Parts: sequence; structure tokens; C-alpha cells
Amino acid sequence: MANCSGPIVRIGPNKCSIDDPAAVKIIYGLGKPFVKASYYSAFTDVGKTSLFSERDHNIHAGMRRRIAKLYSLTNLLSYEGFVDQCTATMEDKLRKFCLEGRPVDMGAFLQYYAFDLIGSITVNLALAFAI
Amino acid sequence: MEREGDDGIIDQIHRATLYSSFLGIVPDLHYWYQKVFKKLLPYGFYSSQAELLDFVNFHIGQRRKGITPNDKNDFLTKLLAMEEEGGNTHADTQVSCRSNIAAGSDTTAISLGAILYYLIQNPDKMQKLRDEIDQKCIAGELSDPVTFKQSQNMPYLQAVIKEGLRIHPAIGIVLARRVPQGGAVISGKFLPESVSS
Repeated sequence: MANCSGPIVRIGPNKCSIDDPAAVKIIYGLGKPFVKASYYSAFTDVGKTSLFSERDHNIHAGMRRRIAKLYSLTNLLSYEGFVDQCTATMEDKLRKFCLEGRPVDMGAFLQYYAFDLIGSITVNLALAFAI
Repeated sequence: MEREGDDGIIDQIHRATLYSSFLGIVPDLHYWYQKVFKKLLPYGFYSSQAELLDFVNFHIGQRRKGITPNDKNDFLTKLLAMEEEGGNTHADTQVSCRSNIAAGSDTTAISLGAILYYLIQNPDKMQKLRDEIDQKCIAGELSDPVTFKQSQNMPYLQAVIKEGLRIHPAIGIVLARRVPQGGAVISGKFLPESVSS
């Protein structure tokens, strides 16, 4: 759509869709005054908030600041052991599938892998087979 | 992965994200939908982010009670230590765990799947990647498993990952922002205040 009518297409009475790499910095750049639109409000239950759905810049900055250090490179590297563990499980599994000549739905399998991974680094439990 | 399944959380996140990405387009309906359709829960007409929050709180609770084991490196151990030091609260612990699970898992799986798919579709690129791995291996630059640091010195692998993320972004929803007071000029056009873009 954007190709035939330029980079900006009006998609609603008060909404525009923009297809221009240069606009990314203007709209999403740090400290820029483009606050999240009401679109985000549906990403949490009424009366609740979350890092993704919080639209108030100051509240969001506070939430972010209090947990930011856990996502520093030093901390990211400390999670590597969990990744190695999950990857080893995946290798074992894939080898087994291969020996058995069993087809595998990689889409679903990678979901289990990713959930185990995130579960391990977050709560030390491989979530895809937790509980 | 071990038992090749999950406890429904993957499907739950899928349903919650589907709900949010559609209701986000008409956010004024969100409040009423939650109030009214909640009553239709038994018929499957209702989905919310509450189940995800319950899931996160369940795991934080299990750890607090000492039921599940901790590891000095996991997020929850570090978050609970930060709570003890003061400054952070249960809400911060919840924010971090929830963000990881909701935003980190599905996206990782989608990206890995896309990269694998495009490599299979492009055997010459797959070969080039294999060549890089073989070369690095022969040069003794790779351990088993390959570390994050070692993978940073694999330019073709990095390019494959970035190209995968470019052609199949894991987030396919609108990330709408509001034009600030006074309007803004984007792509040479003036957009008045409070337009969503």
C-alpha cells in the first residue's frame, strides 16, 4: 500500500501507518516525546500495568531502572550455563529423533526449547516440562 | 522439551497476545470486553493476561516457600536478593519475570524457526554457514558448546541471525505511538498532535 501512495498512509480517522526507516529514530528514539498510544492498554488487564503496556514515561522509566542491571552484558553472560544445559537436552532429543527416524515438528519443538530456556534463566525451571 | 509438551502456558500466551493485539486496535472496548465477556469464560470466549500473571506469581511463590530450587545465577534469585536489600518490591520481581516469559520465549522460538527455515530454503547459505563453523573449528576457536563470546567472532553466523530477524521479525503487531504536542514532521509531512503513528 505504501509503495503506491508514499511512505505515509492514513489507515483511520486519527491513525497513520509509516513506512520510512528514518522515522524510526523520530518515533521510537530514547527520550523522545512520542508516548505509547492507547493500543498498548489492551496488553494488560484493566487496572493493572506491565513493562510493555505502561504508557506513562516516568512510571515506565522507574520500572525499567529497578531491573535494568539484570539485563547488562555481565549478567547476560551469567545465564549462559542455563542455555548450554537446554541446548544439550535439545541435541540429545534431536539425535534420538534421528536414530528413530521420527519426523519432528520443529516449530513446536523450538517453542519447547525457548520456554525451557527462558524458564531456566528466569526461575531455574525448564517451564515446558515444569509442574 | 523433555516430555515434548507444556502445561498450556504456550497456548495461553498465544491466546492472550491474540486478544491484546486485536483489542488494542479498539482500546475503548477493552474495559467493556473484560467486564462483560469474563462471564463467558466457561465457553472460551474470554482471554486475558491474568493467567500469565498467575503463572508468574505461582513460580515466585514456590521459590519464596523454598519448594523449587534456586541457582545463584537465575533472575529470580537475583530479584529476591534485590528485594531483601530494599528498594525493589514484589512488583519489580513480577515485572521482570513476566517480561522474560511473555516477551522472551515466543520471540526466541519464532526467530530460531525463521532462521532455520530460511537456511533450509537457501542451501548455498547453509553451506557457507557450515564452512564458517568448520573453519573456526579447525582453527581451534570453538569449544563444545560454542560460547557467546566465540559466536561473536563468527561474522557469517551473525549476518545469518540478523538477516533472519530482518525478514521475519518476531513481533508482528502495531506498536502505535502518539504524536506529541505541537505535532511532528515525518517523511516530510506534518502530522498534527495526538495522531497515532
